[in-house]
Amino acid sequence: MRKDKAPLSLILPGLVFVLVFTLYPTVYSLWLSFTDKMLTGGKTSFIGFRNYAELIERAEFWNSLRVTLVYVIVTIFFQIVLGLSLALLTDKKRIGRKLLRTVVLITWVIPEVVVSLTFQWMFLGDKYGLINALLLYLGIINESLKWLSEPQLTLVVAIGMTVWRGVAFSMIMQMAALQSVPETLYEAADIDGASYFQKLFRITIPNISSTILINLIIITIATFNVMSLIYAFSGGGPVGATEVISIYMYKSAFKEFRFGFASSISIIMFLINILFTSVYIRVTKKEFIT
Amino acid sequence: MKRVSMVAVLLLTISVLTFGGGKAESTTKEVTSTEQVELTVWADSFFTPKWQGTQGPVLDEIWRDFEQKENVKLKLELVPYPEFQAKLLTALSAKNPPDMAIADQYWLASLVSTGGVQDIGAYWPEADRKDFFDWAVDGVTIDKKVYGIWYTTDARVLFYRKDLLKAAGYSEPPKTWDELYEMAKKLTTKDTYGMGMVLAGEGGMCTLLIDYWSLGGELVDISGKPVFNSGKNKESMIKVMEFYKKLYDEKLIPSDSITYMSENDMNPRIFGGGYATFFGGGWQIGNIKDNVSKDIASQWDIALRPIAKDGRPSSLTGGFDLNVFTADPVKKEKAVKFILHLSNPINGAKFAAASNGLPVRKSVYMNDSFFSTDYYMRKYTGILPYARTRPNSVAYPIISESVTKALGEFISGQKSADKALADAEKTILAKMK
Repeated sequence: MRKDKAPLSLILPGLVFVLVFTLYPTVYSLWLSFTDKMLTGGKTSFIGFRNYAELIERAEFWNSLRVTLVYVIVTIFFQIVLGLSLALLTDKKRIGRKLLRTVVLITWVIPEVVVSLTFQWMFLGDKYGLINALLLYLGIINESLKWLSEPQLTLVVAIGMTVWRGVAFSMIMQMAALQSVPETLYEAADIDGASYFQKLFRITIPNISSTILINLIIITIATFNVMSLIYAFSGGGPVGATEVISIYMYKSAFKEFRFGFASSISIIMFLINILFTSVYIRVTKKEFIT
Repeated sequence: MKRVSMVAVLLLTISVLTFGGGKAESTTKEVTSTEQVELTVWADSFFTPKWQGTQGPVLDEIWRDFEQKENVKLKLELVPYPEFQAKLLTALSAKNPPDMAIADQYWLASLVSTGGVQDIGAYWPEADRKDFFDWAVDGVTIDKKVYGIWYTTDARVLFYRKDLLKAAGYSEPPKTWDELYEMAKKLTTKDTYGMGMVLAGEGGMCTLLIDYWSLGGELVDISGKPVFNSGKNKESMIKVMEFYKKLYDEKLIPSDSITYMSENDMNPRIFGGGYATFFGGGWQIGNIKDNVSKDIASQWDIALRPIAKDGRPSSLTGGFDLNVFTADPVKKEKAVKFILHLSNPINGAKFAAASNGLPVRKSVYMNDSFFSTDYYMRKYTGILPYARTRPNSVAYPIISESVTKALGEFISGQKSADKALADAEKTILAKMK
């Protein structure tokens, strides 16, 4: 009997934590999404799927989904590729590797809002922006680029900013994985006369693929839910060009105080997050088994 | 069996959280008038003794003075501005607000709609009320009930560099849109924009409202229904939007203007010498003095915003007011006393002077040694009577969000003004349902 109760008592604190801080808010958000709850008072009524129907009709919602999709895919690609490249660069004993690691890691410890404002100032659309001033000075461009007012350019900068900040995390993950690849495999490959790229694609990547996948899950979820980094940088503008879904939800909840409607957006985000996670978990499981 | 127990635990937790803990009733016991009263005050640090700048020590003295005189313990809870409104609204909905707060004036309608803000009209002497600008009393009054006392304000004006204007052959600032346009064309060089303005977010709404009001436009009618897309209002709105687009298309304002959401977003260029003129807020005089050389700072001057041919002088005031939420009669009385103490002519002037703000009392501009003599303050004395506050409407945040979006869509060429405004109106009405 005691043996039966022991596991329950061990998981109880964790279970209570999950119930109170994860499950309850989720269930409550689900409930709110079926109501017309406004933070500014008034009677709250059950309205069924009306919030979801409104969501489907809203061009802003589809725009935010499109922006989020582009933002997430491009960010993940660069964060993984650059993270892996930096991990490979700093894995072997080379001059300056400690300095490089430190410099890259600094980006991870700078607060998001500081990063956003710094990028906003650097990318001003005329010579007062550091980037334009530099490009003009070097003769790469003849006229200042409108980094913060051309919708596509602003999204590019937002992606660049996210990659710049997030690449350190990716690098650490891959670096830890690289340490676990047996050196003997490389020695054997050297004896067989394998080139650098053959070793990379036949030994390194297959051996760290499970870490890359886990990294992918974490980055996808983090990027999909990003909010303050972009909000402080552009507020979702210009004209919705960087309005990712979390900003759309934030504005509905905390600018317009439509908690019911905002909850329906959060539920959609929740479902997409679950979809991502389950797909990745399936793939990861396969990887671990094989 | 195990599964049943787990489900039971889960349901119990959810039901306790939903029905037991969701609506926290205030458990504060009523206090008698003789014992020390504790007042919980929510404020951004800027308005408190905790501020690490000039006004911190000034407020410390004012707050301590009140505590001693009235046997009150002021329990300060700092809430950062960006999350203040949402946090206060959440606390009000949960019927668990602080006793009082220092809140942005344009939030008032949303706060009052929760039913949690106290009418303090009976505690505010009529004679004292008369000392405030009319808009300062109107701005805290909804349905003839007074829900606060205005504490500090600002006014949106035209900022201009006297030296640059003089070099271009102008001896005074532009008074009309035509003059502003011609001047901006002359003043725009490869280093400097002739004009600066914010065209997105709440800052963009403030930019737009001043010109829109100047032409007689109204955002909402008496019932709070949006009316900007009909009749003369629509004509005025389109006229303003077209003027901004002209400045944008001819590169007389920076392209980034359609991304900027606050007047402060213009600061890098202002400090770097990138603007000859800009539409800004009263507090920016202090920012300029703190961030550029004395010589350059002394070249910045302010004036009423230029108006269209058929327009009238116009400005917009923002700022913060003091609200009471406690219904406990003793606490309420003490809270109002604290408000009157903070906002009395002497303390109000001390705080405004230390924080680059503007007082809301007319007498301060006549009697206070700084406000009656300072060059900029003398100018504000002439500007403030033309100021208006944003509408005290619960729907205002939704309207503001959609109208500035329409402005951005039109200026960036994504939609015609007609289509952008029609879409904005449709969205607002759908959201207000």
